[in-house]
Amino acid sequence: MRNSLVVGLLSLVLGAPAGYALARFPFRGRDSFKVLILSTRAFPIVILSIPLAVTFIRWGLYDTIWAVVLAHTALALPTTILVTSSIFVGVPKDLEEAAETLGCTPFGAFWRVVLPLALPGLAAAAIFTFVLSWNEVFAATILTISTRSRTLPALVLAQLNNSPLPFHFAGGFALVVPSLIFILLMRRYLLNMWGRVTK
Amino acid sequence: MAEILIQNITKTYAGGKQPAVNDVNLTIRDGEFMVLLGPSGCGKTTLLRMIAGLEYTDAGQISIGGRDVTDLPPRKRQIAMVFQSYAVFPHQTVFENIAFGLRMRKERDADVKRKVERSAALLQLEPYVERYPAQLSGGQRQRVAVARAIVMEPKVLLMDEPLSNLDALLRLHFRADLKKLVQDLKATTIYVTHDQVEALSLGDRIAVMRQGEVIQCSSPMAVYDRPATEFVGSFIGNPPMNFLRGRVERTNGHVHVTLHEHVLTAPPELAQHAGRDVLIGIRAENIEAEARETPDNLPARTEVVEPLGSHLLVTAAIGDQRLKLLTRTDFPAQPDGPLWLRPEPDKLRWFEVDTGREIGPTPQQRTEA
Repeated sequence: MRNSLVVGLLSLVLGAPAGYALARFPFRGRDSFKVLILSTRAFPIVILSIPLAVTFIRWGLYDTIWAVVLAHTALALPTTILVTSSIFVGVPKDLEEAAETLGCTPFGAFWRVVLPLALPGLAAAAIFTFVLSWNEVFAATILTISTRSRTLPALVLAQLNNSPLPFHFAGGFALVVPSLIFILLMRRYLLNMWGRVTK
Repeated sequence: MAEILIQNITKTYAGGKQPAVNDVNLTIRDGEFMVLLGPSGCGKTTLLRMIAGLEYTDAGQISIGGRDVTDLPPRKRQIAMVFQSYAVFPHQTVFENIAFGLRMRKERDADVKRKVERSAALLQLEPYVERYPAQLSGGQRQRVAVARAIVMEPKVLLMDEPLSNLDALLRLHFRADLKKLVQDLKATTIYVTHDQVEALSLGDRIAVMRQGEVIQCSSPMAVYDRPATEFVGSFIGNPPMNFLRGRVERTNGHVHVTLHEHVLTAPPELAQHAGRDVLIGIRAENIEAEARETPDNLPARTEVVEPLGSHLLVTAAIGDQRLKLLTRTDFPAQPDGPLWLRPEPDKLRWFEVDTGREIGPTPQQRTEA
């Protein structure tokens, strides 16, 4: 549970600045960079997991929370970057410039104007990564052994394999609950913000 | 005191073949209302954004009130800007929008409240201060943008086509309001527009731009009456200035221009163009039409008659050249009928055919006017 939350936040912290850069600055090779980001998704996680496990063992990261967090963040990052960049494109550059003529530093303009406006979208991106991490069980199972560092779904899945059939179903249903609660909470917030911001 | 001095400013956008702004020199006096006028893509907005500090310059210098601001960020230039899109912050109430700049200056709450209320009152926004921009009409949002700029009591007020997103009637109302507001503010103002009527009605001076260069910079009446080039004459005025081709001739030391077998007396400056074609420029309202033949008049043929309410707009042909003129509504113009034209001699302007430049008084007289 905590793993998935950390993944959601971490990928947002890493992905949002990249998304902002993609949205605002026309640097050389921007388009090919976008494609490149997506290409990490082209490798099936099944192929990636074993080398990752080996590397993590070497680095002493194996079977820690960080192993899963890093792997999931890497998986989630492309989507986060692309989603956040389209969110930032949606915030007119004029607003930022207006803030700058009114006395803001470029960072101040981002903090006071762009961020509040992008927040609903960023929240959506966070949900998305949370769900992504929540659903990803394969890498989580390969990269961890102990109950301490496993994500909840991976743990439950492993436990349920040794349980009678009714428990399978009950467990499966229980797994849906955190996702549902999380999205319900965020959703109310999203609608609230959007209802106010857009016409 | 905030005189704005623009020296040799040049800017080429990445990937652009021609410079967007090319070696522009301009002095805007303290408290002056300067309009940058030109067709879209002429570099006027780029020039304004460089003055605001939102765009880097490639070369040249900008100083405001004797201080070199060329490399300063916008927040250190003591300017305020009104954007074409208004750029009102959607996540803040009208009050907070107007207060934004004051809060950035860390003014005391009581001062902020007082100043915001005053400028909201100036723009008739008091009933809306607690609303969010999404609940306002376009005209109200526009007023918020102006209030947000003037509340800062800026030395320099920059406006980028602030009226172009309003409908025609609202624009007419707000134009007069804006003129009064700016007069009271006493800030040096630079106003970008492509609407020549706005430029004529608002500006103390107009700088006409084309392809990144300032072609003419003088008072509205001078720009209208003595355009420096054919382009200025055809861009300003509705209908645009008429241009007819004639040939300069010299007989017995007298210079005159023949236009389709008729002779117009010409000023002595035209002597050096003897034997060549020139463009004769004349405004529609400076041509008098007669229904009957009189000795000195140019015979022409009526082609189209358009009633405009206050006047008739007549399109007439002299030979194969066309021109437009305004007549009184009771003028008996008939399509395909004959009419006789008498252009006011002191309103005739002369232009070189190949460069489009005016032949006449020295350039100095032109800019000082």
